[in-house]
Amino acid sequence: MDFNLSEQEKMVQRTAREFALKSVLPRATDIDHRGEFPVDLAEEMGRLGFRGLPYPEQYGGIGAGYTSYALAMEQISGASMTVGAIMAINTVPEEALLCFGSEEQKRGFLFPLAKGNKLACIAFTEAETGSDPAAITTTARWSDNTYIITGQKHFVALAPAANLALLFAKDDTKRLSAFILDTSSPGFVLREPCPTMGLKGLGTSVIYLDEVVVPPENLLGEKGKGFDVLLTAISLGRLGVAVEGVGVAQAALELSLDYAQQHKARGKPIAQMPTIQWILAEMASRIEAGRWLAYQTAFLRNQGEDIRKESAIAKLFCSQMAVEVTRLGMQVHGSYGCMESLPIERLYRDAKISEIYVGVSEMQRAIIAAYLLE
Amino acid sequence: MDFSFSEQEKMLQRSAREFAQSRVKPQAGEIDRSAKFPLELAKEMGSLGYYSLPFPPEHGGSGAGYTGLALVVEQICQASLAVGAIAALGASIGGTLLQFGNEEQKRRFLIPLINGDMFCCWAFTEPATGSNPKAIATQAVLQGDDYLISGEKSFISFAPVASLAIVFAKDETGRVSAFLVDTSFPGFTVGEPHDFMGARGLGSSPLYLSEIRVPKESLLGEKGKGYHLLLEGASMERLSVAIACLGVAQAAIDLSIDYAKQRTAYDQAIAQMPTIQWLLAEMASRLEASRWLVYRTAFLRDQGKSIQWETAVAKLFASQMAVDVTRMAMQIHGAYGTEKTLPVERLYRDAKMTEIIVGVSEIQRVIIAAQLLWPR
Repeated sequence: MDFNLSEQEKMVQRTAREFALKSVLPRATDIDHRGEFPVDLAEEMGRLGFRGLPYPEQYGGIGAGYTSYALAMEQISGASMTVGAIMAINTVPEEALLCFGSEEQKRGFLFPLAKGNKLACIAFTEAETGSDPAAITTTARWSDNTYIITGQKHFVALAPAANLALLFAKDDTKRLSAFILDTSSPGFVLREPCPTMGLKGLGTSVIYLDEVVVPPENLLGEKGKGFDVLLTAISLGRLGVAVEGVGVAQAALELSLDYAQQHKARGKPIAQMPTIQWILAEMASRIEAGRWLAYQTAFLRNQGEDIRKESAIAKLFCSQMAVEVTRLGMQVHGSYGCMESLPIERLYRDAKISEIYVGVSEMQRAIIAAYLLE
Repeated sequence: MDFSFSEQEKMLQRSAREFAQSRVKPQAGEIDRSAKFPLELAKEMGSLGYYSLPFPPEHGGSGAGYTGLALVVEQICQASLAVGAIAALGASIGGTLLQFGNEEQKRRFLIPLINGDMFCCWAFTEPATGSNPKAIATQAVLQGDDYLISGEKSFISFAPVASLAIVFAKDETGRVSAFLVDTSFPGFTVGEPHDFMGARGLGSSPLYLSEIRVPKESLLGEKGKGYHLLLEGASMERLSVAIACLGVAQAAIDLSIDYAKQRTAYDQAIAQMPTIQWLLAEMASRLEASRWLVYRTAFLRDQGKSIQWETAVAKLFASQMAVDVTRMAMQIHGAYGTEKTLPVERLYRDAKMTEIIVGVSEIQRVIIAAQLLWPR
């Protein structure tokens, strides 16, 4: 075991920290209040290589591994979880392409995504189904040597800015298949946004698919094996959420430390109160535990391993940790923490989303238990 | 970062697992019932080299580091927390001697200690003070070339088998010093062992020290610097407790998975029930988080860093985890789990001890918060 960061990991972490503090942090409140997708920051992340960190250079990436990816996203999420989530979600279609794409698909789709020239969203969830692929109603009809895709997708993050979509639909065998869609295709309609309590500015929207023509070369993986694509790709999404949780929680701790040293009660800083110290110590210890769990999960992926079980464990733990730590941060801040003028209440709202999106905790527990009982 | 185990680490883990399963596990229930210090196993661990794992080869160690120790102790604690704690405590006391002892002290005691031919206890805590070193009342009065040590100590592990003790006392300057005391010296009395709820078998007992005459050379470390030695030693003991938590929690999960598959209710294995699955998933994820936190803490020590803050973090988190996980295991086992015929109730009692011994959680939080707020 060697828990030291490599030179490359340190460099990526440092670069991400600079970007987070200089470019992201000053915008975080505004992104949250206005709920607008920060196109420029997404582009800057592309230019800096953050949108293709783990992927090989031949496919447009940096080749820095998943641990570097985690280190960078933690820094960015600490400034704004929304911006961190843009990076995380865009990686899910990339991961699907890396694991299931043909050489041509990797060159055609993964390359521009990893390079940062294009952005991709995931269109799986529907109004009536979140985690159950059997309930998907979007169809991919085979006709005249093309697929015709029809249906509606909900909660599609990144939708307004995405050039590509990783879409799941039922083919004529009634089984799930995965497709890469160009979002400029006729019939791909961006509908109303889904305003959310936290993680605002992620562009989460409803999408209508009205007989979108998709050529067969855009089928990703084998026909009817879309669920497999989903499970593999989404496990990287879960790792992303785990890391976001670590970043948000660390930010909450740092804010709370500052506040506790400045805010006075009964003539002395509240940092001197044992009850406040109790809270700060709990926050720090839980963050440390979550952090190394998340890094270890990223490392396993570096080793080429499947992380379906491990990413569920990391996501379950880190999202609960983030919710608890931001709640404790709110307690340290008292009434001031409830004000929109201070950032802690945004962290509290953002953290809650991590227990919900990319599979609610209840799903993660079912996945973990299934592996344990196997 | 590289989270994979080296060949040496894998081998250590495997051999510790064999020892734990074949030698320790069959005796774990009896050690708990009798609360008797398992001297034979303790000696065996010496011959297996477990007390010297973290030390460099020139001091009789294998150079496996504290990460190696962590892997070994975790395995042993899966079978018995008491036996695993003996391994960890033994190594940690050897480490104190290595770090603070002079050449003569190391030459005389280090090899017998790490071979398991001799045991040394750590005598700091007193009836009236646990975590506040300034409140200790034991005195070391200089008389000619000797010190006369008098006082009372509580909760001293290894006491019934120890032939050596690291005794903390206030010298004539009022500062704390540490002394290496031969337990056969006149005036050194071991009292009746404490009857604890868990971690039974560590031999925890009170000590009565009555004008024990020890030569000046018995000072361990510098005079008046006992507090420094205490902080460092306590830090390593915190790491030991955190490691032990991993083993206890893993044992609780393994038992729970087996039980849930076998036990039926409403004509199905309870493992099929979402509520039971909820518990299993929570147990596994919390343990996994603790595991890498603890390994990393051990790794930092191997890098030569002071880890007083990190061990407080690891102990606070892992002990709470162990209590939560064993509590959930009790829920899965239902009424059977409360029976003394099954091992899960022992794990539950043992886990609770980890939030108490070597500094209660409340003290750990104070240590953690102080460093966060006023970094030194």
